[in-house]
Amino acid sequence: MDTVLHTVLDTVLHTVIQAVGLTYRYPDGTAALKGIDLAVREGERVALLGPNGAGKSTFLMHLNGTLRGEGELLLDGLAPTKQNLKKIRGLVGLVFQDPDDQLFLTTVFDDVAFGPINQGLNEAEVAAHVKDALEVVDMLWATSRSAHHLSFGEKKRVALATVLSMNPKILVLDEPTSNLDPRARKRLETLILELGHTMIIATHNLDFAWRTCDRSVILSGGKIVADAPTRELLVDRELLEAHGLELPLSAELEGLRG
Amino acid sequence: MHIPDGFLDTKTWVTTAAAAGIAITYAVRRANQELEEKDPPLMGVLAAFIFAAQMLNFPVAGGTSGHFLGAALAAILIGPWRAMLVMLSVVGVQAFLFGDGGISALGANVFNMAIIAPSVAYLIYGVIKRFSTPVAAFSAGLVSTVVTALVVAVELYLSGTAPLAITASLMTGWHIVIGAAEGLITATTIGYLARVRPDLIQGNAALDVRSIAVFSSISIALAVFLSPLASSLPDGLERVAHDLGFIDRATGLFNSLIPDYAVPGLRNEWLATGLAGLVGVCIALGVGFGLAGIARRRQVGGETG
Amino acid sequence: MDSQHTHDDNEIHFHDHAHGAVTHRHAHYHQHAHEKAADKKLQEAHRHTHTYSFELYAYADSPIHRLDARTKTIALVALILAVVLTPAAEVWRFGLYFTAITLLYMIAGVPITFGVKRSLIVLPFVLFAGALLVFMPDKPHPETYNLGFARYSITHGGLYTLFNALIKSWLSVLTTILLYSTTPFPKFVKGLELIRVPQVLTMLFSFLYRFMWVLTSEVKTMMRARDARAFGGGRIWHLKIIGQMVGSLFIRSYERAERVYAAMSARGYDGTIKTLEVPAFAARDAVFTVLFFVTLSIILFWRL
Repeated sequence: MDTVLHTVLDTVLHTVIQAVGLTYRYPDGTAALKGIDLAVREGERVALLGPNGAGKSTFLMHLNGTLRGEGELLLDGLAPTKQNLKKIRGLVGLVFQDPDDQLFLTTVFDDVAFGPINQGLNEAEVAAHVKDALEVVDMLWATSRSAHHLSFGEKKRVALATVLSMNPKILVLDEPTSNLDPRARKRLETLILELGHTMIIATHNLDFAWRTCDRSVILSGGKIVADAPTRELLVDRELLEAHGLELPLSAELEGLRG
Repeated sequence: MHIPDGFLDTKTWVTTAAAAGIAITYAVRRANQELEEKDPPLMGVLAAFIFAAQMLNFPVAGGTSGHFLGAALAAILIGPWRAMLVMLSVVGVQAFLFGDGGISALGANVFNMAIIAPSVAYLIYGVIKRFSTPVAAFSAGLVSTVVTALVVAVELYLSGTAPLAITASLMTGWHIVIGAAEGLITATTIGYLARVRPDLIQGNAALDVRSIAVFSSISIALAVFLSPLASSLPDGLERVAHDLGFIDRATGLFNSLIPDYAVPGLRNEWLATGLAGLVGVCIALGVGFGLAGIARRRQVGGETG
Repeated sequence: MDSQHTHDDNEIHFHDHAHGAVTHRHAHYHQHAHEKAADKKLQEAHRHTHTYSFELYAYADSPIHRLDARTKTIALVALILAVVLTPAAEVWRFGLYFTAITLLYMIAGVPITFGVKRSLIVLPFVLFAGALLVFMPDKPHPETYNLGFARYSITHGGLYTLFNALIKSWLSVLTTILLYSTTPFPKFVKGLELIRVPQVLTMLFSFLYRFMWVLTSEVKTMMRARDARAFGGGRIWHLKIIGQMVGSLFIRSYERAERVYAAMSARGYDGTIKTLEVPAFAARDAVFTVLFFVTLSIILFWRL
């Protein structure tokens, strides 16, 4: 597709993530991403599926400028150049798979305040942002606790808060439900459905994807091999199995009913 | 090796604290100069790593077990300055949160385990690694442990807390065993990392002139500090040698150079012994560097260590 | 369980409640519906998991807890130095120090039994080292008691040295226990920052504290796995295994550090950690400092 069409689409449909021919090679030369084309509109929740090693995490790290590949990538119209980096980091909130990597300061307050402080907000504004973010994830009671006092599920919610406090437009989540027990997973799901952000969620949990994301994308071997509404994609048994995935239980059940 | 409060007399804990303060200030300055953005989280995690690794115990003899110190490993992995700061944080946390080591003695413990141990390890590793990396890592672990133990013995002696000969012999004996284990663990770790992630071993960078100067000064100060040992330990050795009959042959040559292990003409025993020790260290360093230089010239055209 | 609803529910407020004999203080938000909400949610909010054994009383409340971290650190370190500087012969002074320390424990709401129990950790080492010292040949008070069976004689001076070491190390540890039981570590580090300790060191302490638990539990897991599979094999082999464990632990730590760094820059980190609130000295700090140092001087210098 050419640039003119892109601009038109962008204006009309308000695309917040736009990747065209995005490629990335590791320092040792192996190709991780082999030409990704993806356009995500504001408010969409997109599940990023695929076998391990397909390049999901690598792709996610492009979305906040941590990695820089070749090809075109626009985040709310901004290219991830050095000047735009700070803005992009306030725009795109990346939640890592292991919350221990993301909670590195001594109290929950400090961790959630880290982002807004770096954004240059004053004390009152920071306190307000922290309060709002912790309220959303229902972890206000832990404000003065230390991260290592919390359970795994609680840490995951605080990790989400550390990113929410920056008021991002786009949320990128890497395996948000991994290692969560059913109750914590349900809680996170409810939370995600309540948030209105544009989201890209890398996940192995296809039932979770079925319930939270209207659109799914399969990344395999560094390329996007499927991009369709979730309800269509996740019932295609042959397609799923060809890329190392299985039919989610929800699909099987709905199949039985329908 | 952590010294609790009450073992050192005032002059000792004050001077070692001052020495530690000066050394740490310098280390902070050097670390800040070379500081990359990712160093603070890296050093913190590595400090936690050293702290955790010190929990690893190994059986030594009978029911006793020794513990890993990690100063040598830290120095080889992240360089001497950052290793000093990392060891400082570990020793400090152990003193304040776990009662392992006193507060007035914190200066001495930092001096011993966070300044001397990594410095000696780094110097030994730097000199020997040209020949063989595993041997260098092993020696760094062993020698730094033994030297640190000797420094502790001298500090206790200077405080009037413990007699030198007994303490030094006991500490040396025990810490040669512990040091060998430390050396073995260090060597295995470095060997493993050299195979899997050699890029993580930062101590492999060549010694620059400034570092050589600093570490040489530290070694010299150390030699002077440890020189009282020269007068007491060899008493035992001398006795053995005398009994076995070869002392007459050995001392002939040595006495002509440095009569009876003291510089002729100097009245003050401490000063004399100190200078003798200093000369000894200089000779040792000279030999080390000389050998290294010869080895390097021999390796022209071959791979680097 | 008390609760104080005297302020607007739209701000962070403190909620005190008892946990055994200790009062704990936590930041809370209360919704009006909380009385009707399921008990489970309330219990969850008040659950404590004190991972670090030394933090049991750190988050409690007392006049001592409310003092600034710097005040407490300076005072208690001064106390330890005073103890160390006191000649061992003046045994009665140590009784006074112990009384002062016990008084501080009482005001802080920390049981002295807790302090004594934890301070016994230091004893084995001191006794072991002390066994050596008792055989010290020459000292002040050179009276010698000869034990018939022993080649060495226990001198009066040796016992003096042993007592000196024991009382001072014990009182010192009792005092450090009081310090960490009344000052959460994050506040302690903040205090260090405020007295201009270089950021490279304060950040180092913060990260060490944060990841100490994560890494020690990894080591414990490794040791458990090792013990489950170790049968026979020589000592050298055992040490080599430890070497490989240490190596893989290092790699995991290094990679974790890289991920943490990525997480930091993802939230705008640019090399320095900026902080917000500046703890200020209050009147109570001045009052405490004056009272404390006057008392300390009296104990240290009073001649009988």
